[in-house]
Amino acid sequence: MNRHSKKRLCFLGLSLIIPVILLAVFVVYPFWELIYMSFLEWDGVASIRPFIGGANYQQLFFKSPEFWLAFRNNLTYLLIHGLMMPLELVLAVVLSSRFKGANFVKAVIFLPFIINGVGISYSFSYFFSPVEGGFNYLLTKLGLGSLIKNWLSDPKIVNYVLSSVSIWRYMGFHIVLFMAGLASVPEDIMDAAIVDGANGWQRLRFIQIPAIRTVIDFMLFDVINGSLQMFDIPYIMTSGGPNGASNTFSIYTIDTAFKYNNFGLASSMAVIMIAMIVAVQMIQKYITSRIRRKEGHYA
Amino acid sequence: MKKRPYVLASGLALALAVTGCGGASSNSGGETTKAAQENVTPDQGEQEDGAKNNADRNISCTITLATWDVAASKTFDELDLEGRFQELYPNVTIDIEEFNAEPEYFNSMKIRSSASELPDLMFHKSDSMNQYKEYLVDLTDTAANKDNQIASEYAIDGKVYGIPDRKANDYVYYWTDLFDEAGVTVPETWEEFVQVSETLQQHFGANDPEFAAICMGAKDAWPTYPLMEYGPASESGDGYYWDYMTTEDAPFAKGTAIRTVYEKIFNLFQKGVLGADPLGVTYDQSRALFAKKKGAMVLNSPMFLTAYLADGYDPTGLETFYLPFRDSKDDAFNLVTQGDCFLTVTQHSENPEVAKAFLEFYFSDAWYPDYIASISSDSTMNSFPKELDPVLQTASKLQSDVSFVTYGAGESDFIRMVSETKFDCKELGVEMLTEGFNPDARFDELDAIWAEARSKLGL
Amino acid sequence: MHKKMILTGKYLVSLFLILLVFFPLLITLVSSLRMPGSLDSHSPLWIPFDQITFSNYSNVLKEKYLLTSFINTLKIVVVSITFNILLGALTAYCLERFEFRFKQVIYILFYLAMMVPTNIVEIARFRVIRGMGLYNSIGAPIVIYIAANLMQLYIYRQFISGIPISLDESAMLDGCGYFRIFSQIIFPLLAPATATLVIVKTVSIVNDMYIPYLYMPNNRNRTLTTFLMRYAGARQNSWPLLAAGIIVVALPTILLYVFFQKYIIEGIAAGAVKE
Repeated sequence: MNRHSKKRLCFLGLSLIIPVILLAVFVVYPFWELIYMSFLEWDGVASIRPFIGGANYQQLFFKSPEFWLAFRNNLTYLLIHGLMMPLELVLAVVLSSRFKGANFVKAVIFLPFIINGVGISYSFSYFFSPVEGGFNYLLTKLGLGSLIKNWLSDPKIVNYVLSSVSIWRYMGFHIVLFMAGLASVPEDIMDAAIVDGANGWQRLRFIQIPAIRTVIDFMLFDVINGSLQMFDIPYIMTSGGPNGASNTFSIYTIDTAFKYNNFGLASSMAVIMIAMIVAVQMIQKYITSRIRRKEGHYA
Repeated sequence: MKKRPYVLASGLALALAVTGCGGASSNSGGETTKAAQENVTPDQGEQEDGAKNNADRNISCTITLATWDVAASKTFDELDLEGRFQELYPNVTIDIEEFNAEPEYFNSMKIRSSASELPDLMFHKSDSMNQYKEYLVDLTDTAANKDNQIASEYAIDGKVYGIPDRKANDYVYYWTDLFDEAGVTVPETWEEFVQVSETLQQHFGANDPEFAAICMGAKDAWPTYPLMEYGPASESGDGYYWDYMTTEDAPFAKGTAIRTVYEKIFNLFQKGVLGADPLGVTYDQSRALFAKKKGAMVLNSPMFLTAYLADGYDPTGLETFYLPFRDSKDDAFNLVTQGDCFLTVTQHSENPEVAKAFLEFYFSDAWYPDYIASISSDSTMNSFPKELDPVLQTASKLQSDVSFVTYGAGESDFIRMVSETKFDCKELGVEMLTEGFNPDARFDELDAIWAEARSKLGL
Repeated sequence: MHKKMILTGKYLVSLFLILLVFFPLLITLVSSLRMPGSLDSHSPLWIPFDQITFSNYSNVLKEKYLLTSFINTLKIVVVSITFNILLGALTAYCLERFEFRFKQVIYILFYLAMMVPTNIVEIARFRVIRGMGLYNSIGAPIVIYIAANLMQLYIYRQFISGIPISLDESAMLDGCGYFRIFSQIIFPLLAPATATLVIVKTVSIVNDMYIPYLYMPNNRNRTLTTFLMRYAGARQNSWPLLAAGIIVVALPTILLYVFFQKYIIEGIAAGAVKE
């Protein structure tokens, strides 16, 4: 072994040893334990933990409609965040073009991202409250009193209301990210496109969007993870209610473990959930890369 | 395992070394490392496990006490629980761990129990005590137990594990002037109660869409308990009805006490007497609404009164009656009563003798009388009887002839059934308030789930 | 004419967004200035000047554990982010620039770890933390954030892949060791990404509720978020009091934001854009 590669090894070893140990102890080992627990029947308290094979998974797939309802609710968050992304992009384009006060607007819309999420959730649960809630007040003042609904207690709409809170919280963050991406598009290219007679849509479609691929990737990653792990907003605002209608994966799993004393089943849920998140991320990667390959052909 | 903190240490050393580019000389980072480590390791002092000498008065240690009752925790502060105990044990600090609400409290305790990290002393509900019994210390021989009126009723296999610091039955709080204005009187049967609720709703709800004859706060689910949890016990006269249910394959069949009383409750809900959006209002909001007389009645325990007064609201014109589940005035008036906030000593305590001494102190003259006077619930100690709040006294004046039903929240078989079936009576109450609830189908379904779970658990 | 219309449109959109952001915040602010328990009906958006009270704020500020929670939060943020940044950059550098045995395995593990939902793994992680004696100390969240909050890898790898490898090579020819290359060439070039990470992570750690809540039940170990939760539990019916609590807890980050707004937004921008 020559001196060079020895040095190299030394560097790699020193650099990676701590992160890898941390990873092993705090992520890999617990994850392994989680998989193991998903094959046990355990109430979280007793010292005996009988092995029951795939029974937990069987129950999960065939006898737990609540679990799939919770999954569907997570998809609602994902869907709504996904649908909002184009709008956020358009808003970013609008705000990117120079005008007086643009920076102020940017600063303001980023604010919700900074504020404590638990605080936001409490605020919004009062905002949507049927009693002296700000939202109903606003509707009444605008003469739209007939639109008043049971925002947080009607199972049909509660998830949309909660998603809108999540949108409120992250919209500014997304817009600012998009704007950052757009700002990196060289101005001369844009000017050239304008000279060539490209309209706003064409410029967006063929110059700006391809230029901000990294931003879009990051945001998709963040939105998928965030939506599928959604916890604090529904936990604080409705505790998953009414009657489980706004449960998410995380809330339901934690309930299963702690409220219904079924750590085995909860672990199997966690395993499924992780598999889902990985799957959705993979699908997203696959789709975006395919779209890009196609685009490559055009160019 | 013991070496782990050094992971952090070497991490920091490395961080320092990196900037120097050369060989990692961890010596230079040594001192900083130690300081950083002290910051992050618990300072609970593990050197005090020499507590075997039967609670030496000068022992120096920290005793942790966990509670979900935020109001009580505030009282601990105001009445200086720690200072009073330090008159006996000057070097013992009391660390109060308070939680928002029961579910969070027990979620956290469950994880901690498996990791042997329970606090020295913790409060329990009657049912949770059963679940945690293998972690609790037998308190049968304590003076506190001997002086307590009801602790022995909650003994498990003949052993007392927890001493309830209060007992209570539920009340219906109501505004006398609203009753007068609507021309209704205090109901004595279920039918009358439904009638009164309807009349109130029609009378006041006509002009005020926010009005609710009964302020429930069902968004939080748990406030449905006076109906959903106590209903079956009251209907049947059996405080251990949940345990009885574990012996039945079809406990929700037509004609059973639970089916009967749940049908009654469902019919009450159908009349819209809980206001326009019963599931949108939290318990705390319902209290505020009631204070504004946007509601005529509240069903709850004395803790409601404690909270109501703590909010600074005026109790003038506020009276109480017992909720009648009975069908006719000739039937006995069953009133469910329950001990609550059972103080227990856990086996994870490093200073069990001090913890026990604390428990004795808690129920002694040095603490208990002042404490129980500061909350609305009734005393459980023979030596310290208590005069109830005038608001609560009105109920017993109206209905002095009640037969008390001591309530048990279900023993281990029931807890296993709940885990298996995910049956939660309070959530069922919420379900009943949701549109499209079909009682017959739902009860049949519950029966089917129940039977299956019983056979699975081999009951 | 056309231009004017576009400009008007921009201002209308801006106005709408600003109202959207401020409306719920304003309600919280107004409520926090109201007498708790005042029973008259009122507009949630307006309060007559003579009825303004600061008693809700003094109530929050008098809370015994507010300062402690602030200090705890600060410690957790500073320590965990420092390590996150250093270890994250180093790991990303190794994974991006070197080929070695097990690299793929390590990479996949890190990648999975990024996606594992924290809240749920805690069922299993709890025993590990407890085994190390970190339970009920601020070491628990610090260690977890360092070990399991791995978003920095994602951003740093993007960034490092954009740094021409010729830089490393020429430094190597000049006789620089790897640590020196990393600390004096690569790490400074990562500054924009680091800025972004510091911001995003500060926000996410300050706002995290579950880990502090689970691992540090002790009053001495509250963070701002768990402080708020406990405070809310005790004051929930009094919306004005809770509103004041929300604002007090949010204030440190808001102030930080107001003062460093320009850098924060630029930082976010710089770190995220890189190809």
